[in-house]
Amino acid sequence: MKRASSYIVSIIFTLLLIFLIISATVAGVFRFHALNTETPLAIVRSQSLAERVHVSLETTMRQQESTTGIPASLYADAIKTEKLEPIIRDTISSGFAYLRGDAASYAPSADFSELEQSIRDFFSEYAEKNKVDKDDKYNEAIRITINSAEQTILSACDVYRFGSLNDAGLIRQLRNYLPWAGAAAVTLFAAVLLFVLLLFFVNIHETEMGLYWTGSAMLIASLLVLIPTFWIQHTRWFDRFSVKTDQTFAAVTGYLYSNTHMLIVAALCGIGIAVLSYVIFVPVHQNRKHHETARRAKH
Amino acid sequence: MAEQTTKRRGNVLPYLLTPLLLLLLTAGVLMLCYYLAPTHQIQKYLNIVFMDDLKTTNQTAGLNIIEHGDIPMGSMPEGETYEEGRIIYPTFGEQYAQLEIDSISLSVGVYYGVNPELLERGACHSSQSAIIGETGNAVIDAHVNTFFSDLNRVKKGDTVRLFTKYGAFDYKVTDLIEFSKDEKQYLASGKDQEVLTLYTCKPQVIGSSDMRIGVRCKPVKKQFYEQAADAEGGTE
Repeated sequence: MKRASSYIVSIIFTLLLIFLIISATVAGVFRFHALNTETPLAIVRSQSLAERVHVSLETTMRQQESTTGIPASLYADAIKTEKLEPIIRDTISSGFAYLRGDAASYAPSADFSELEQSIRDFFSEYAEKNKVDKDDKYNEAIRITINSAEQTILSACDVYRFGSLNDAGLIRQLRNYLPWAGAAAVTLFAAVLLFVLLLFFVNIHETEMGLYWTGSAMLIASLLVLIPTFWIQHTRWFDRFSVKTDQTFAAVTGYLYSNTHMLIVAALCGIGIAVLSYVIFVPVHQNRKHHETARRAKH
Repeated sequence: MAEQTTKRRGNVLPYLLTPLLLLLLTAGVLMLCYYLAPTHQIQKYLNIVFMDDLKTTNQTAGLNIIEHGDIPMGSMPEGETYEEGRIIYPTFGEQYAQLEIDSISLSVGVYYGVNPELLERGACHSSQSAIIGETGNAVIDAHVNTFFSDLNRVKKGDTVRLFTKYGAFDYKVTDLIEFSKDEKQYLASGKDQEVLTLYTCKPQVIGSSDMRIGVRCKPVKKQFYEQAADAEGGTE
C-alpha cells in the first residue's frame, strides 16, 4: 500500500517535473541565448550580412541615380562592407539592449562624416559648373540628400527592423515583459530542483528511485523538446519567413535557427543526464533488490 | 532458470512501461492544451509571418520572385462576376496584379512587398497595406525614374484599372496628393474605407527629395471571379 501510494505520488511529481523542465529549458534558452546580444552578432558573420546589405544598397543607389542626379559611385566608399559591418553590429547591440530594458532608447549611431563631405563636394562642384547660387535652397538640397543617404544606409543596416518595430510600438510592449525573462528562468530552474528533491524525499526508503523518476522526467521532457525542434531544423521550416528582403531574411532565419539549435543541444544534454541517471540507477537498484532477497531468504 | 528469467522480465517491465505511460500522458496533456487554448489567433499570425500557402510547396530560401503570366489583362472579365468575392492573398515577391492607367499609357506589373529588387521589376504593393479588393488603403509605389515617371500627369477623374487573378477592379482618381516622406496619413492602412493610393518621389533637378506625389482613388467597379466562401455558405 505504501509502495503504491509513493508510486502514484512519484508519477504526479514526475509529470509536473516534465512540464517544469520543458518550461525551464525554453525560458533558459530564451533568456541566456536568444536575448544575449552575442547570438545575433554571431549571425552578422555567419550569414555575411554586411555583404548582403552592401549589394542591397548598391542596387538602391544605382536606382536612385537617375532621379537624384547623384552618381552611385559617390556612395561607393560609404557602403563598403568593412564600413557597414560596424553599423550593423551597433544597430543590433542598440536594439537588443533596448529590448532587454538595458537602454532607455533605441538610438543606433554611425559616423557618416566622409559621406557628408563627399556629397558637399559633389554639390559644390555641380553648383560651380552650372552657375547655381549657393543659397538657402542649395543648402536645403544638400541637407535633404545627406539625410536621405544616411537614412537609407541606416535602414538597410537595421537587419532586424528594430526601427519599424519601434515605430509600431511593439518593442515598447515587449519591454514590459522581457526584463522578467531572467527571473522566470531562475524561478523555473529552482522549481525543477525542488521537484527533484521532492521525488527523492517521496522515495526516501529507495533513494535510487529518485534517480529513476528524475531520469524519466528528463528523458520525456527532452524528447518533447527535441522532436519538434529537430523537425523544424530538418525541414528548414523558418525558410517560409515572409519578409524576403535578403539581409532581413538571412538575419531573422539565422537567428531563429540558432535558437532552435540551442534547444536541440539542451534537449540532447537532457537525454545525456537521463541516460546517466539510468546507468547509476540500474546497478544500485539491482544491488538493493539482491540484498533484500538475500535478507528475506535468511529470515 | 526459465522461471527466473520470466520473473526478472516481470520486474523490469514496470520500469520500462512507466516512462512510456508518462510520455503518452504528457503528450495528451499538451495536445489538450493546444486544442483548448485560443491557438487559432497565434496560428493566424504564424501563417502571415511564415507564409502558410508555401508550406506545402518546394520553397527555396530568400526572395522568390514569382512572375505571373496568367493575370488576365487589358479586357474586362467575361462570365459571371461578383461585387464581393474571394481574395487570393499573394506572397512576398509575387506579381499578383497588373496596373493600367490609359490616360498616361501605363501598364505595369504589381509585386507584393517592397524592396530594391522588386522596385526594379515593377510597381510594389506595400505588404502593410490592404490587398486590392479588400476594405482599407491599398498602397502601391514605384520609382519616378521608371514606371511612375508620368504619375504627375494623371488627372482627377482618370480611370485606374487593376487586374488580378481573383478579379478586375476599376478606380476613379479623386485626389492628387503631395506629402512629406515622414507623413504617414496617406500610407496608413485605414480600415474603414476602400482606397487605392499610388505614389512616387517628387522629381527634382539634383539631390534627393523629401516630398512624395501621388493620387488617391475610389473604387467604382469590383468584379470578383469567385464568391467568398461564406457567401456560398461554406467555410474556408
